[in-house]
Amino acid sequence: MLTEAQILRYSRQILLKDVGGKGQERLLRSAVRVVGEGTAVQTAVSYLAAAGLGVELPERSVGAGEEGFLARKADVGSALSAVRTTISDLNPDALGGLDDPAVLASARAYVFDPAPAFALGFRGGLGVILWRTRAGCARCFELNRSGLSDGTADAHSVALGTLAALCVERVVLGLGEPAATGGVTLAEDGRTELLTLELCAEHR
Amino acid sequence: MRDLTPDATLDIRGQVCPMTYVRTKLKLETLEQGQLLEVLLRGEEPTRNVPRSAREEGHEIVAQDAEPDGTVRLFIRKAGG
Repeated sequence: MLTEAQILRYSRQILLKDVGGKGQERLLRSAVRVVGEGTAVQTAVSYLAAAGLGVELPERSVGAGEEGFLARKADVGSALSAVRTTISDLNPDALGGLDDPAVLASARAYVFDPAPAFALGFRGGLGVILWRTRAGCARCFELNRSGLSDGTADAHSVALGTLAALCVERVVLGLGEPAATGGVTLAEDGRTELLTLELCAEHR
Repeated sequence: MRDLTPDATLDIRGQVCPMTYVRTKLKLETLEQGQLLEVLLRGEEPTRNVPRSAREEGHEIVAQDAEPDGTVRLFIRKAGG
């Protein structure tokens, strides 16, 4: 049940046809565990935190190039507690319940985990968001993730992180019946396309 | 005044846009398909926007009556799905 403060905070999301109060409650029950670093991941984290998902950050320092939405230049090199404070200021709900989180990872940092996963990376100048739900294929996911590189601190990475937050929300809410294993690409000019996945031997 | 018996009533006369439809939408979520929600609203903007938003989400506007004190009584039948 949404509190009065949550109804006010998430009113614009509640208004969306496919979200509503029930969808917002579902977002609030959902969480991501962050693996890796980089501009795309941090951008996605900031939007997901604002949307009400729980966010679990790794125990590490703020890396160079991560300043942006969540970290100031002065935070580079310091513990992620600075980012936690920023997230808490942004939305205290985001540090709440973290039962059964999905993994949100930069492509190179991802290591297999049975939890649903989202990996962000780049290939051939395209930003790529890969996802795997609980019903998805870990081999197909791995086959496509392994060819990705991590991005740099540029606008393309910010845009990729923004789109990734939307992908996470779509999968969490089951909007548009997302594939169990799937992906989208984001070109530098903003065009998005569903990714044609390389398939593992079992799914070819 | 029409003889309609609502399953629930929501008074949003003290609310402003967009909370008028947010409250309506949340109330509709608590009802079953086919049930009737009576919404009391006031002012030109909610009188225009709330029924429009409800229609866009597939609900049926059954009646909309203006009362002498400026209150508008809107009856929305909840859609399925």
